[in-house]
Amino acid sequence: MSKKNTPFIMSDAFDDLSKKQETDATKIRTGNTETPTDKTPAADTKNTNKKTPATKAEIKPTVKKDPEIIPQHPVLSGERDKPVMLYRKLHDLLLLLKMKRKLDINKTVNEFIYEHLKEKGLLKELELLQETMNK
Amino acid sequence: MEHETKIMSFATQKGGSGKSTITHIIALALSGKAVGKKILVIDADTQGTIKGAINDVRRLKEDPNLKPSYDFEESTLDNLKEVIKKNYGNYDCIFIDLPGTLDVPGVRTALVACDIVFVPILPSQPDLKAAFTTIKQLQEIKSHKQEHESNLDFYCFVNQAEPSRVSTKSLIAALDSYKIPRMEKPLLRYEKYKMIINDFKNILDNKDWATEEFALNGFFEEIKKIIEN
Repeated sequence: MSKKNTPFIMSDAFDDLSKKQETDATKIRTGNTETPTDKTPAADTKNTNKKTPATKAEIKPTVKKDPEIIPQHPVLSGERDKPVMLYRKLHDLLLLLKMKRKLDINKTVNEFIYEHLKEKGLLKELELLQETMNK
Repeated sequence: MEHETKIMSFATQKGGSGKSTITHIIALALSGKAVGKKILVIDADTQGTIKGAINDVRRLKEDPNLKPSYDFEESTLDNLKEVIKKNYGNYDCIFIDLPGTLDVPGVRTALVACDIVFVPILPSQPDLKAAFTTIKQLQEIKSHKQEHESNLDFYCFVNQAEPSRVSTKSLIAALDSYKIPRMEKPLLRYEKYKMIINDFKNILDNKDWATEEFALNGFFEEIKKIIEN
């Protein structure tokens, strides 16, 4: 088989379309926020000069990283499925630990687990489980 | 360029659906004596199932020269685009083995590069849900590619099917009710398929293996027809 035309993957259209798709994927990963921290070519589309994509060094100064800002990762921001509830608690816990450095981590984790079970109406089950374990 | 390369992937938004195993089986079958196509498999899955199989220590100890009938290259997702471009034209088919998520950097690029994507679906609700997400994504890519006079064909198929079971029948009914393009023949549940990943016996070239089950149920023939179309 011989080639007649320029294959799609060798064309500019392929590069453009893949960049667009990667940008969309980045938005999903980062919870729809504009965070130019991604190292893939998709991140380059955010740069104003399309013909000469900026290097990582050039991108860096535009990144606004504030340590106090709540992370936008979907897992930490609690935007997805069941495990997220626990992660959200973990995120709260991390914030709390940051505020109170001398906090007893074991005690705090237990409190969070207790609160979570209470919210879910599972305290009776917890008591029953504890009884079983004590026997 | 020597070949008009078809770029393909078995992809879905879910791990454990058989992507790597099927890639390996089909690449072996296409590159074996019976069909004789020149095939490259690019392992871009961080799980590295195919890479692990090729470098399996126990098997290498028994026969250090044993290699699959297809060519193999490992790639990071970051570097995948370059690896595809570098090899384009040198093979009849390039199969890209991808991770089980569409939102990891590099996966979308791979899907855009593909001419054909096969979506394996196990007969279960989570797999069907994952397939819907995948199909929606593939449909979007297809539309964009068509704007540039290119195309992306995609086909779902039932993996590990047990035709007499309700779960398999329900899955096929669900796909048809949503008019999702699917392969007519499912890949039957067959334990030997899983063993092939550590054993490079070509399913079409070995009479002792699953020739009857594999070939006669028509799954491979259907894939071959799609690829050659």
